[in-house]
Amino acid sequence: MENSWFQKGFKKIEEPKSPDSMIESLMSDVHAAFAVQPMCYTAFDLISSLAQGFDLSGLFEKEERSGSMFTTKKEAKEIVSKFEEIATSSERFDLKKINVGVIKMEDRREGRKGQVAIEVEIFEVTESFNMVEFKKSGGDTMEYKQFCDRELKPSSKDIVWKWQGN
Amino acid sequence: MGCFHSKVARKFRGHEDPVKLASETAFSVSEVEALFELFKSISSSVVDDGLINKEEFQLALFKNRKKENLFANRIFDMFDVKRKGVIDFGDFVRSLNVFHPNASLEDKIDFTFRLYDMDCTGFIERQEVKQMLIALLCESEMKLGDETIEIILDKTFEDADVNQDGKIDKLEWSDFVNKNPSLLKIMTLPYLRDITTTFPSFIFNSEVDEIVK
Repeated sequence: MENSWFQKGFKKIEEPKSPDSMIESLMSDVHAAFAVQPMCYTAFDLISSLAQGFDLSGLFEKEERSGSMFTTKKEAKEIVSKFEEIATSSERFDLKKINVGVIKMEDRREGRKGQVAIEVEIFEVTESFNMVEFKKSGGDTMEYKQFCDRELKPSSKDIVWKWQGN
Repeated sequence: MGCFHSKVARKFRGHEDPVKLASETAFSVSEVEALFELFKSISSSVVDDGLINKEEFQLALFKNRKKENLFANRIFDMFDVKRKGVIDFGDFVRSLNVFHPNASLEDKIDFTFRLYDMDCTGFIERQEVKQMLIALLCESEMKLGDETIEIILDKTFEDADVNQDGKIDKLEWSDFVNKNPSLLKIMTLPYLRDITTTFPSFIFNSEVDEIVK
């Protein structure tokens, strides 16, 4: 290594983080879920998401699609609190922040196709007018739908302004 | 060729030739035939004249023929290429072509630009977006104060109207959509890929494709 030829392009490798420090950063991510910064939603985003007249899938679909998007007058942190509440009372889902404006709910239990996971994304139109979209990001579809219909949707009623499609 | 050709000709009499439509779009001949099944059911629902009128379009989209809707009207107008107040089969296929998953991004971006440019000035003006936003809030039964509406428009135009001249031109729109690709989600109908299974047509599909190849 003393030979200068070996030292060309040599980069010192940083020591890998200890397991403890990794857990710490994961925990701070979870706590930081309360500081979720939503993505910005413009008038065009609103129109393309909510205008049923622009949604030509109606020409092909016969059954009612179950909504997975709603508008809310609550602020981002209240929305996150609500989902935290839903997760806690479900006694099976954990909540974590994964990206700007995105939180994830993950089932602790293994289902038919692994753990059911739900991604919830918050889009800010204005501070007190947000759009929330949730979708399955893992696990069995039926189990996901059951949870949505039985727990997620009924429990989120008090923050929902209008469901998409209604 | 005589036998099947006359059957095809008979079925499509008064409408554009499916082989021609297939050659000009991303659809195969059998897919065009499947689209004809869909077209037939929509165009005969109120007046059986082989054309889709506004009421029939509303019925197909909302299951409610009386539902007047700014957005559905815009789409109808875009499909009514010849400005006759009705959509014929050729218009139908060519317009749906842009919604095909394989259609070019450029075509989709162009369609949405013209969609939002309601008065066809070549620009998407703030007033147009305001009108659409108000119509949206109204149909969704969401009430927002004037101030909030203006804030939303301000943010939108800050983002999209780069030269800040109060209107969005084609280039600005293209850049804006490229930064926000989810705006194009209305422009793709995955159903168009499985159209032959959803609307089976009992004409000599496979044979037509064989011969055309």
